[in-house]
Amino acid sequence: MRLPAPARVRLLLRRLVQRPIVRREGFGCLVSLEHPPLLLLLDHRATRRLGLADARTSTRLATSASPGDPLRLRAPVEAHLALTRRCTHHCPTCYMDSLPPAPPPAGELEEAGWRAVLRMLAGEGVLQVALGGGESLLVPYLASLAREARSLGLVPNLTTAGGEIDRGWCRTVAPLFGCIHVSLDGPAAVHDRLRGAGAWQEAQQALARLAAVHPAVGANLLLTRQGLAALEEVARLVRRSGGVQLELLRFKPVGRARQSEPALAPGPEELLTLWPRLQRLACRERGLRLRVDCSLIPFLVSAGAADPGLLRRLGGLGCEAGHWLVAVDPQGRLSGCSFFPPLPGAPDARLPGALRAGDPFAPFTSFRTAPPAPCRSCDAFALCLGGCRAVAFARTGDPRAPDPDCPRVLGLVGRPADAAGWPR
Amino acid sequence: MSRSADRPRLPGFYHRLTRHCLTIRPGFNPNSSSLGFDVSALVAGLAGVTLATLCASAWVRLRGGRRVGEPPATGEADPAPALPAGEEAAGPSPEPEAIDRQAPR
Repeated sequence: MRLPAPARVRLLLRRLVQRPIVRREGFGCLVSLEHPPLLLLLDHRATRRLGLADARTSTRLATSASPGDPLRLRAPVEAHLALTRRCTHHCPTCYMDSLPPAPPPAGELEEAGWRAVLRMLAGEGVLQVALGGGESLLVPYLASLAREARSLGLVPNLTTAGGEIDRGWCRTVAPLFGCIHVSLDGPAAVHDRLRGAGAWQEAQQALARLAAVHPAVGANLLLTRQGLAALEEVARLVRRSGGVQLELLRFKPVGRARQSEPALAPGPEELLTLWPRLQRLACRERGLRLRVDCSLIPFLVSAGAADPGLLRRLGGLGCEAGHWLVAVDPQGRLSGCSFFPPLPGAPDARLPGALRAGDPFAPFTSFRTAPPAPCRSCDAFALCLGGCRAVAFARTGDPRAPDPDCPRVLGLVGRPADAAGWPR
Repeated sequence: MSRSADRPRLPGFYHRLTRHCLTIRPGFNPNSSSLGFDVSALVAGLAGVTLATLCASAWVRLRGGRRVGEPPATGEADPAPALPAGEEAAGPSPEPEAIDRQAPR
């Protein structure tokens, strides 16, 4: 959808006056732009030549010493904040075990707590925060948190089901966010069946209203079996509503989704068909940017998407939980990823230096440094990093197990050398 | 002559682009599991890599690639391999262009 003239002028001015954020790293530096949204990882030579060598250095993480990984970051780039478990929908696919909008559940952080979390993250050098839930629009201080994030130099992004968005909100609050995505479970019939009658219309209306005022609006499509089957139809509907991005999310058996997995989740064979369809879709829907989540990397690599090294260079990231990404749950506890439960004794994210307290990301860091078979002999490991830890933990109870749905582990495509020894 | 000196060098900007920019990552992530990658950027990137490969191979060919079957510039043509006793040559040796077409890719 074409933005109105004043919004286009504002965007052009922002592009002209923006200052890139530069963060020094062990390999050189990380440069972040907002217009267009872009992250560049540059080596020492490029850093010196571009005059970025005296940029501020972020705090070093306790887990940062890893001589084996040349792209080891000093601090996470993104943090996901699950602001609340309250939600207007009661989806069988919800990984948060969402609760009704009222009464407010005990123990969730209030505005002051979330502000402290934002200060801690900004102090550590984090660049982006993804605000979600539950339904983040049920949080009355959402706009105030987004302003606080901006004032601290963080870029806030938002995920919502779209129910509470009106024109006033679009005009005053939406411009605070770097990007806004509306959650979808499939085309109208599937979406309404899972979320309740009228949910699709709400989502589509929100998408259209947001797209009229914001340049980076899109949708998250959860890949249920029906959602996957209707991928092309959903992409067309999102583009017609004005969305410019479509993010595909793998079904993870966490929260309520654990019970609904047998009926709703697509199997590994079905997910292997995704890559050829995505290629065709990327050529057909040129106005729509297609993205896939980190847990789908094993399926795309196995389907021959590209050489893992090239994918990494083009910004592909596998399970970077606890490294590129951290999460904070509604109680303020730190975790590597919002699909992975906080470990017992997880640090309080409100406290300064929480990212360096103990090792809150142990299952992720230990898997990365010493992967078990068959991942250790797999040529895609440097990119996919063993598939989804949350799926592995939910299925096997062992966070250090390889992704049980990975086509290479299952032998659906060429197996790594020591895959035969992997017990299933 | 060393092997690297034999091979024509690629243009400098290509080296700078591939060696000093370690990763390019477009877009923001609206939620936790959305790291993954940008399929549209990948498809565009693969098209770009294909185009760059074609340009680089054309440049290498124009700059000084030696065709298979041509004699080395400094020496004389290789002597024909000796045939086993009792066998005769099937006919005249093919033209260099024909060999070039038959060369394995």
